[in-house]
Amino acid sequence: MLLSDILESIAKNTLTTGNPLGVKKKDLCDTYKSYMKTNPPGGKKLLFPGCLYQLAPYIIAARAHMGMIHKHQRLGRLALKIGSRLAGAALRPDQKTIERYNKIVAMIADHLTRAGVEYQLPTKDLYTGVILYDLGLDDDFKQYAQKIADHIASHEVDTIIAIDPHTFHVLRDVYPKYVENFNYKVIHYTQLLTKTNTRPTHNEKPVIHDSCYLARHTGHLPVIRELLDKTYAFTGYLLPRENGRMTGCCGGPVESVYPRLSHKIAQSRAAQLAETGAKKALSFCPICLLNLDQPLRKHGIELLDLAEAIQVD
Amino acid sequence: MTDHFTLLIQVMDKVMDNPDAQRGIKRYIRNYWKARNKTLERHPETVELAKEVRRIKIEALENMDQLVKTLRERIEERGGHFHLASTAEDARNIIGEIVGSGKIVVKAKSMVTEEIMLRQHLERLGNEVWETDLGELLVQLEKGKPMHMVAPAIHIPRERAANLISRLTGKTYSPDTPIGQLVSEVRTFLRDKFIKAHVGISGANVVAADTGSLIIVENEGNIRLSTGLPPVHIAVIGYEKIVPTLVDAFKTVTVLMRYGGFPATRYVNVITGPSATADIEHQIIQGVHGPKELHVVLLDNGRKKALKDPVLREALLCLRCGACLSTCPVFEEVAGAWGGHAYSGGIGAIWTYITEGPGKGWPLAYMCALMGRCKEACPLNIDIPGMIREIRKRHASQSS
Repeated sequence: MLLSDILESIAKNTLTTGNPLGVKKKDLCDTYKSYMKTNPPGGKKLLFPGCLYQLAPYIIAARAHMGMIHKHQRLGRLALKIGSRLAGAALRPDQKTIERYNKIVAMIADHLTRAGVEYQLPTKDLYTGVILYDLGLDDDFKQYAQKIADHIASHEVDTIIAIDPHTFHVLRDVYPKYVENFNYKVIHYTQLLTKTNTRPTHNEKPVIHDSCYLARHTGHLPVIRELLDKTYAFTGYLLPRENGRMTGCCGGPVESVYPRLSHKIAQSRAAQLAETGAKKALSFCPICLLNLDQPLRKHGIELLDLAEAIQVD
Repeated sequence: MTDHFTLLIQVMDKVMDNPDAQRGIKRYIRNYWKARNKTLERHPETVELAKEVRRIKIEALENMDQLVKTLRERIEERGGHFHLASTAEDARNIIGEIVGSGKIVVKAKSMVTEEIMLRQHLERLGNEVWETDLGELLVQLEKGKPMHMVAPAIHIPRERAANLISRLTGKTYSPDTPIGQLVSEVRTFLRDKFIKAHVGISGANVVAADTGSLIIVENEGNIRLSTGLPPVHIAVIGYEKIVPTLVDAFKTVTVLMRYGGFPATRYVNVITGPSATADIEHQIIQGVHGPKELHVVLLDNGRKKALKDPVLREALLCLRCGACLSTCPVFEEVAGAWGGHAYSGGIGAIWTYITEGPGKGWPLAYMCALMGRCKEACPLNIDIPGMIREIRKRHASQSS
């Protein structure tokens, strides 16, 4: 009963508001542009953020809400339904968190400009609907993906640059199976930084939290390693005992159905990263960042997104 | 009425709130990986062998009808009895008729007998039934469910084990009682049961169609006794255990042991028919020191339907080595609490869907993180996340 309410709410929210939480903020996915320090050079490549970083602060705010729903199941189905529908409107993320996640998107765009990549930004950034696919809501996903594909088609591009692992995977490997004529070349932005000069913004040797989607599902690990080897050529970096193709989970994937379990998994992973003795950690995914940030702080470790940890010369 | 999903969360909460269980699960998983890595470093050829075993198993699934026919012929040729059971209830009835009531039954650890809830059924018929694997015995004593398909009692630390064993022996043990002494107490208690048992029950890890041989691996020695001492041995097997030849079976069991963390288990039992001798005038007489009767019960219970399913048939490749469980981040927090009454974890969600029905299986599917490390860890590279997403998809399409 509770699970079907969660699924129904995610599907309806995504189809009506363009995000699974039902956030109706008008410039939710495009605020990042105001933090950019460079101008998009233009070109046949579309830097398509996919709004996952921009949604992350709202996911953090939604955790408490979901926790409350699970804790007070006895309130009854109607209360839960109303609660989950109103969630989007009620979520009030911390302004600093909104800034941080939008700045990460802006930094990625700036890194690419400095690396000499020719790209354009979408007139409007949109969420890809990847959660619908993950939850098996295929009919809703197909319908939603078509809308996103139509929007992408309104740009004259042949290549899509994704910035997070989930958007990368869904656009490259899943959209072509659900949307007709989705024939773009889809790449991850890190691929465009391997041949340019990059260096760390900090002096510490960080521990790396590999993303499941980059390391396993998309086979992108060699590119990540190449970029890290080059960037951290002087200081080096650390790997936890579960790394690479056997990397550990941040807990994010089960957050929508069972937040307590998600948090427990994140705590276990944070403890494993802390075993290395590092004081800084690096992740490549907004979901990993939002899940591991607090648990790592408890170990005295600062977690950075890759975009925050590097600069392009 | 509380729904399956809410119940699932309640059970999982209990494990997350239990520090003993948390310590036990995490300790087991770390030790498993140490053992597995060491074993595969020493026997690197196993990785290639696993690829061959995947091919063997796929070929077996494609020729299942013929393999079953051959298996039946070979078992009957050797004086064994062969039974087909369509459902768990059929299997319980067949075995119930063989065992009867008022008997002592000793059981080897077997997931398929958990699946059909055989112990409970035989007890209801008035039999005294004992699990003889130490971990499984502890689970029986606490009236729980196995928390891992290879290590059923990973959630039970030594203090709790001492408490449970004292229920068995009537003696009192302190929390400091050495584990060796506890094991010795169980040995003494069960030795008497092995000798007096009328029936021994086991599963099988692999079954060779061309010889009708059952292969069962173990470390404790309880399976040798359960299948060797009583006058009647009943083996319950699923279709997915059958491979074409004895050579294929040894390859399969080698992969199973190595990915379970053992270069070789302490014992590898090969049973081809009931005990027999032809030492006097070359006349074959059944039942010398081992069982006079061998019954093999081949269980369907959803397997044949899965065999025809283009996505879920992949689950039938599973060797039950438990590698996927020991690498799953969800399992590491809640162990077997995430599962049906027999099978746990992501692969358990799929097996619960197959054997207990979609209604029990789909809520479990939503607890999977789809992070895919299980597929990496699986010796046969079984696409567990792909099947989990398929179950979610089927549920969503049915609901709408």
